[in-house]
Amino acid sequence: MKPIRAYFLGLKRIWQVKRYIGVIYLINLLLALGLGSLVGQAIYRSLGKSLAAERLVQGFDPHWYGSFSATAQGLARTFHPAVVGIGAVFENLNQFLTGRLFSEPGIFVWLGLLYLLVWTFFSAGFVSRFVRPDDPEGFWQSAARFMPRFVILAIMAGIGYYFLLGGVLNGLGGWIRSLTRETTDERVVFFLTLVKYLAVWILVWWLNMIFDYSRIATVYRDLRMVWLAPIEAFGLTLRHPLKTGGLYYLLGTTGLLVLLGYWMTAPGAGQSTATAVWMAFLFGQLYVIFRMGLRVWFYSSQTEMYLSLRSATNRQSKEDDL
Amino acid sequence: MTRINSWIVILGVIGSLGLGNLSRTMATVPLSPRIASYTMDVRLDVNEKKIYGREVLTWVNPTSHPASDLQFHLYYNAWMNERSSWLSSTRYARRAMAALEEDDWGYCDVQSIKLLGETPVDLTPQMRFIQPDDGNPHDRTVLQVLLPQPVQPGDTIQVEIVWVSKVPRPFARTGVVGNYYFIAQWFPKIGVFEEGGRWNCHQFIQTEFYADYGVYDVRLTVPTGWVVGATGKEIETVDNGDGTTTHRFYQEDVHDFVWTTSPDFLVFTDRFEEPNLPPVDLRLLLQPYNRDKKDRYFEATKIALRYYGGWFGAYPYDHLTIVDPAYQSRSGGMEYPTLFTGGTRWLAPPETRQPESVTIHEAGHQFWYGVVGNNEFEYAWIDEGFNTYSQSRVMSVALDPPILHRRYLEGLFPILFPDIRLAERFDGADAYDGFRSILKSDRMSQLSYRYGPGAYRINSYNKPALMLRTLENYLGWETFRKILSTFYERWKFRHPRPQDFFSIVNEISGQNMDWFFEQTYNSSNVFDYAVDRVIHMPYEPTRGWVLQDGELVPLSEVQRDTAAADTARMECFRNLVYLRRWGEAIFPVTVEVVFTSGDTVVERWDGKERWTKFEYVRSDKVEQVVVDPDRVLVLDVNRTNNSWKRQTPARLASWKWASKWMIWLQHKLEFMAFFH
Ligand SMILES: [Zn+2]
Repeated sequence: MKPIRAYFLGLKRIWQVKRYIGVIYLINLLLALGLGSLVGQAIYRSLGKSLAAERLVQGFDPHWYGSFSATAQGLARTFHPAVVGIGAVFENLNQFLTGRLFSEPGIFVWLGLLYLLVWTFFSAGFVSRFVRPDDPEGFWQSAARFMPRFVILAIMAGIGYYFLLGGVLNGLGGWIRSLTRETTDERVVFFLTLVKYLAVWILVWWLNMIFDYSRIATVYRDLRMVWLAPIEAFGLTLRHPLKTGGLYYLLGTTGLLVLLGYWMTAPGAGQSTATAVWMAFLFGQLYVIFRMGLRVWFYSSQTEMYLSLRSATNRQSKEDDL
Repeated sequence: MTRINSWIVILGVIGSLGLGNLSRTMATVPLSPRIASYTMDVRLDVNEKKIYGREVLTWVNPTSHPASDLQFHLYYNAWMNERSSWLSSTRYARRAMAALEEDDWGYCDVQSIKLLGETPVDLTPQMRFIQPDDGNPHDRTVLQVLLPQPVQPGDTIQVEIVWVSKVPRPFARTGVVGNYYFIAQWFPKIGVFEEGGRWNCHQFIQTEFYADYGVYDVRLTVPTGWVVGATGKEIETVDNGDGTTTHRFYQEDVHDFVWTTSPDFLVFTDRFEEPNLPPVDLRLLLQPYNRDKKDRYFEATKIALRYYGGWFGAYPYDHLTIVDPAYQSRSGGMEYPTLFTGGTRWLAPPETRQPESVTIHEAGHQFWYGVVGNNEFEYAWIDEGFNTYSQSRVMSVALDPPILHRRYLEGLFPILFPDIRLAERFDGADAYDGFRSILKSDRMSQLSYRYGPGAYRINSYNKPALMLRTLENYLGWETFRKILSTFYERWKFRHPRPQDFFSIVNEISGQNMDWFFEQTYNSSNVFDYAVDRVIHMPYEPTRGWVLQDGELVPLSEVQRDTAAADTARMECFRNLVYLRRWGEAIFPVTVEVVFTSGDTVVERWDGKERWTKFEYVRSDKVEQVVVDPDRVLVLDVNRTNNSWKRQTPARLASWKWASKWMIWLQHKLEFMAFFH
């Protein structure tokens, strides 16, 4: 199967699980609402009856932010005007790419781990649906059945990510620093740093792809010995680098293009009416939902790819038997 | 003798000495007292990263006291080892020191010192290191030399010093990276002998500098083909035929000499021309990768020369060199006489104000630091504070308003947030709110080198800038401009102390502003005025008994006569406005009260008590109250509590910004989920 075919087949399949994407979105939204209301209250309290409220509605008020951030406690300390527009993505993307996403204030780490578990559970459901669409077993039962094995896979993947984003990235950083110790041209360091991130992230994405196929294989073969799955998946990506890599690249590029689109259109700080604030919020939600859909799209397309590669292998081995 | 005649005489003298080039750079009358002048011959060995130098110092005792010793700064010894006061100071990050290699240290080794005269006297045996500030016996940044006999008031001596300086990996904006050398605070430099007969020659412990004015005539020998930039003008270039070239730089009436050399610099020139101001030749030494910043560097420099020149007084030299520092040289953003370093990034759109902000700041230092030469060891705020204030003021009139930008991926990529407007540095003190305000970390009048942790920055830059802006707002710009230009005029080429400025403020403004400086300069108290609450209640007739014509009668009967009036009054409101002074510091403020009818009343409050009340019995209600509506007191640490409005969109505002924070959190969770 060509990557582009798996890509579109996968897209169709997303619609079959849209309800469950909706559920996971709701969980995300509720977590954010819970903490967001705390930040909102902190902002509200800091405003009192001040005219700063009007300035904050018109745009931004750096003076208000000065005293707010100087006295903020707890979660409110994480408020920064760069959360506006594309900043909401880029601020995190920066942490993500530089491997510092989990070096955040404690509450985010715990929340993040909890959310990882939620996704692990749903992934089990999604992959089961995609591998066996006609299985009478429901989404939730499948999710529950495969959840423990997916947790083990997540831990294995986590070790890999930690090694790449902790060890390799820092190691390369140190190496570049010593290599460019006497460099006076910023461009040299600029491009070396870019190459560093590209190199590490190609490995991270590869690892990510291996574990996606590991999950699919675990479900498809109902593997008990989970640790075998990554080995199979690793082999699969090596045997079919253009197909698996090409599909991953197609999906990743889709994400990147939509990100660029969001960058161009993300609402800034200018909403001065309740309607405008809500519209901006809802627009932001669309992009959040897209990202979740994209994650599921990875599963659906890669499942298509996996199944097609599997059946080709089966055919091959049957022919060999004859 | 007229000006023209004296020129002819001097030209004649110079001509006869064969110093043709020199004539163009020599002034008719000395601009400064010329207390410490240096003639130097210096060779840079780029293999050893060493400077071999010989200097002849001509020094005049400017005081009415004899000087029995000489004291010199050997700044480079601050990086000789970790025992120096500079490196052992807690203010220096230990992490940065861990990365130091053998070749990264620096030092200044004085090999001989000789008193010149008919019979030269070798003073080398009389050298010893002293530690006037902290007594750290390992610190070798101040060298004392005892003289065979005291230098009498007004007398001049000449001293010849031979030394070797090892150029370190950059510390305090001087050093070498690759083949970029930025050489500052590098030669044995005499301290300032002050009235009272004491040397003001501090150890080098994380502060800036202080020196007397003089004439510098310096020959710098570097590899042929390397570009050299330095204080002064290049008046002679000699190819030595051995792979080295000697560049001779000459500058009068400055208090320091700095230089830089690298084979990589791109050199550009431009000229500042402005009606009513003398022209200035600009020379820009640019890193090749910053070629696109050329015009921005020149333009920002011209902005500083134009506005500072117009507001305070003209830049007195006819040339200025701008150095774009090499990447990771840590030499950016520093001022030296007739030369300064800017700083930018390879990717830096104009909205980031890199290099505009730092260029305006450092070009501005030519006025506050270069011309008005305060003691930075003790009163760093005079140049840094004046300059931060002036820089903010220039930027607020000459540049677009500042917006937020963030740099991502180890700072490689700048991302602009065009609708997040920021404040200029002197616009408000809100960032210093809170119980543990950094403003309370030290009083500003503490000597700079004695500031506690964190206090140097706030007290040298932001607080004085806010203090000066408050003064400007309080006295009016025209008066304040006159104060600053008077200060500039009277103290150029001299060393003002804080009191000198305060006296000029009182003199020019015609007011005694000591109460203001007492609170801002001599104290660490903060200002915070606020609207506490606004109450309104229907006006009701009073009840009870009153004495009327010797008889007690019920108020209701008395009031019956004026029933009509009372009915009118009953439709009135009693409005009470309570204001608070939450800060310890006191400042008179105006209060603007707007009523629902649109009427506006402006009150004045001397701000002395902890609270005050304004009462209005009117047919309408108070709609809005603003304390200090014109934002005179930018030192107020909380502008948010300065206003009150009957109905504010606080709910909408908090939802708006919390909703954006939520989306940020949602994406954070999604990024985390990648790793599931
Ligand atoms: Zn400065």
